[in-house]
Amino acid sequence: MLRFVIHRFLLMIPTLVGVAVIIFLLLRVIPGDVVEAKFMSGEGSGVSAEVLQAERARLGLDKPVWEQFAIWFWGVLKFDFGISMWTGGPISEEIELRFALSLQVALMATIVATLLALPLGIIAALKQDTWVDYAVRIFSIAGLAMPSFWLGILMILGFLIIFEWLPPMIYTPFWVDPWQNMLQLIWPALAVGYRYSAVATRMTRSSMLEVLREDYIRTARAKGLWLKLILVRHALKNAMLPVVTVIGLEFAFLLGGLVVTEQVFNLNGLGLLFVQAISRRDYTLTQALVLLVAAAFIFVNFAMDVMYAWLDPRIRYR
Amino acid sequence: MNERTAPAPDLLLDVRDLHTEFATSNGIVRAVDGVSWDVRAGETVALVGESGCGKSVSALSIMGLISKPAGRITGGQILFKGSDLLKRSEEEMRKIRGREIAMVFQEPMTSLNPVLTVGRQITEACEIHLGHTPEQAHARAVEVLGLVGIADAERRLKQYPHQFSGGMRQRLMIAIALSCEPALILADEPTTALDVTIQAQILDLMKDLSRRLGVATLIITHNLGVVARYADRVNVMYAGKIVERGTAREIYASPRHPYTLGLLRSVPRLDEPKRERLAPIQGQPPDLTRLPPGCSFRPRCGYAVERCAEEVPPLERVAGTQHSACWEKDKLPVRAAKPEKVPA
Amino acid sequence: MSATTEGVLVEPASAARRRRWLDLTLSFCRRRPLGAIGAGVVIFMILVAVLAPWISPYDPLAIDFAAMLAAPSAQHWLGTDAFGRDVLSRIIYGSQTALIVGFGAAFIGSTVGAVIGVASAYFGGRIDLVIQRFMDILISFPLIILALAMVAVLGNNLPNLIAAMTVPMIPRCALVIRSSALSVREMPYVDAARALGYRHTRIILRHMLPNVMAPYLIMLTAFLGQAILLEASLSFLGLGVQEPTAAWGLMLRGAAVEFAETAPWMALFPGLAISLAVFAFNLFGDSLRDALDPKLRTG
Repeated sequence: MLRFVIHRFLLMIPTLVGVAVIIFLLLRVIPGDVVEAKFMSGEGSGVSAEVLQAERARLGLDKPVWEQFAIWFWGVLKFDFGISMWTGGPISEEIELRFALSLQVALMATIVATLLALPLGIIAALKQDTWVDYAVRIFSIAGLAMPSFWLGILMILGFLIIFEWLPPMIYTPFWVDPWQNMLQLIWPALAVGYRYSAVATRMTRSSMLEVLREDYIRTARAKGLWLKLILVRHALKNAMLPVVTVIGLEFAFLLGGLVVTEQVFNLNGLGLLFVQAISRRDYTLTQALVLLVAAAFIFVNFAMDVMYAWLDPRIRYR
Repeated sequence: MNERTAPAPDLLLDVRDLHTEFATSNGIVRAVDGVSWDVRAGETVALVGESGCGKSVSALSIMGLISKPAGRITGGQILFKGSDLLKRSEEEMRKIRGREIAMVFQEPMTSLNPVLTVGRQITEACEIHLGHTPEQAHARAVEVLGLVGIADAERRLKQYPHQFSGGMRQRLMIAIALSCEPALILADEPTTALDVTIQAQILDLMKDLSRRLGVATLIITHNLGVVARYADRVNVMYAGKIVERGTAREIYASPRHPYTLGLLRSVPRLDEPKRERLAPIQGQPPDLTRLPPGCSFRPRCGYAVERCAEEVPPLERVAGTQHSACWEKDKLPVRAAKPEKVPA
Repeated sequence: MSATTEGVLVEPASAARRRRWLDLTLSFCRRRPLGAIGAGVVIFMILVAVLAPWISPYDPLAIDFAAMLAAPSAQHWLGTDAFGRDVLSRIIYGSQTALIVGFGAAFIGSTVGAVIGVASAYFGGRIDLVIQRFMDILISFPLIILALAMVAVLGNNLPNLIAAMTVPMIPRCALVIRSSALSVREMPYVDAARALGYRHTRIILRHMLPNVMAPYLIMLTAFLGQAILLEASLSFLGLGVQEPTAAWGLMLRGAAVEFAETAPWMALFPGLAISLAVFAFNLFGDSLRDALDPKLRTG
């Protein structure tokens, strides 16, 4: 098991470096740069070439690309993402401020999704081709079709029109006032969690259906076990293996879903920061955020593999 | 072979006129079409036939494991210890499965749960059926592993199925089947998926256990060679019906149905001079949704006469306990060679 | 085999092939009613988009300050937005944007992905390894994050938007197609083509690509719904289609939330349009996947 974990951990490194290189190159090979965006957009276009040059030198944009990468990557290894090209503040600070919020919403959405997906998927599988199954399938396909930001808008609409109430718009950290905090964050978590649950529900259903056809389920029945015991002990544990993977991967991708939903609920999280960074052409900040998301994905992937191995003895004892 | 002449009351399982059907997209399949056979306490009975002839479905019907709603039992009786299993509720059947009647399946590689320890899979039936505490169940598991010849039981019980070879897994399946001391074990092609050398080991083990523990065994197979060595009595099935029955010696010495004859000719033998070649049965097993009128075997039969196309031959006594469902049963060639040595 | 004999061989088969397609379509509708409903909605959407100039009651761009934020009525069935533009007309024209961007991105994304996947499987060895590594890296970006990053790089006029959206689709398709193509590569006709000395591009395009049609179609239809959703999200963020073009995501942006209380129709109907479109594409795609390859599960 330990060897498996170490091996899998080492495999992560080249992917991470590759991700860093791609992100770095992507945002350098473009027309126009942050300096132009900063000075040329909006009011003043009468900035002299010398000023632009000086600003480029200050941000290190005049150095060769490989040198810029080396400096940046070395910083990244020390968790120093450089300074934001737009605000001038350290990126680590910008991210830190918002990280807790986005992570909390992501975790809550995961819980919402899991609580929805497991029972629905299992019931649909057990009642395959009955109206229950169809209802669950339509519910989950609808979840995939409805944009989570629209669901968010609908929620806000509903609150306004029916209760004449709006969730708090100002972020309160959980440890300051859990109630206020939940009151604000549960809605985006639900909006995102529904969509997320759709994927997990479908996976649970198909995985459960597959497992129920397995020979060892027939063996369990031939042993005269109670149906409940067959489902819980024999079917569920096997059926959960692919579901765990899906939930994990979706969790890693949640930040993507949050990009849009944070906008709707006016949450000052990583998603909002990301959109701002892109519209302001803040390369360094964009880089840092994309890298963060990709790193989160790669790390969660690793964690999932380890968990999978822990759940599945066939891998654990290889 | 011990010639059992005991009277009928010691019948453990008595299947009478069983009908099991499946609804498929091509129509209704009569997988088991009016079949009667029985097993006495402690003996080994074989159900023989090609795949798809209804022998596995017979076993699943007894266990009450026919997959609903596609499959259903439409008629007959399954008397186990004198009472009809078909009249039992699902909960009553659950108490019989694994406790009174246990089953060993064809695929040892997929029939064990990959994520549970072997110990867990052996002990759970004892805990449920016999009310064993975990310690008692564990002790029983150690015991049955010993019975099926798996050494180092304490360590092995903590392992997972993938750490066992195919033959070992089939031993585990037998151990699970034995764990609650059932009166009857249904073994559905228990050796088909195994290497030839391991096949013999497993069959010897089953035969030995059955004799030592007094467990009756129904062995389902397509291999008459297996039957000859391990079964007391034989039922040959074709297209959902029994076409011939008798003691293993009778069937082997003088098969009285062309299908049995064909099956025997397709098995290599060591006790007679090298034959020109093995003769497989011509043609394909019939489509059960479109059985021909008359005898189902007629299209593949070398001895068919006109009558075979019109009337279904009844299962009638030939001699001794041997029965055959063939119009031409008395005109079939007598098998020249002496019967293969059958262990007593 | 020369090009002319191929042509001769193909010609008489086309009528039979057409009949086969008709049969297939009919049996698809009978056996997968949900998929047929999805397909019906998709066809309806296409008709709406094509007939937009004739069926939409107003010019989608016409600003009418006299009718700002008008509620649904006989004049404006679905109401008007903050500029007095007719919501129904904008939804009708929005279907053009959704379909052009959706089909464009899904088609290009899955086609490029398929070619890369097949090439990767065909060449094997080190080329395969390098491509696979690269695809693995690209896959570790969430769809929308990578698309947004590409928008940042390319800018967001329509062609660039489509290009940006294809980038995250390519690796996902390439991986699936590659695994199918691996078995195709072992087929004798590929060996035969190689023995005949055909160029690599010809073998890949003429001999291997047609044989991964099933997974290709599955990926293509799966991407359609995703692409429409992605375009809506990007437009909603203000980083996709730009005003004043009619686009569903764009209609939900800004004013729709601001005026949610007084003019809920602004937020309601475009969202419904997005959901219905994606729902239909997903239903169709799902059934197609089940029909073509029950073993291929994309979750």
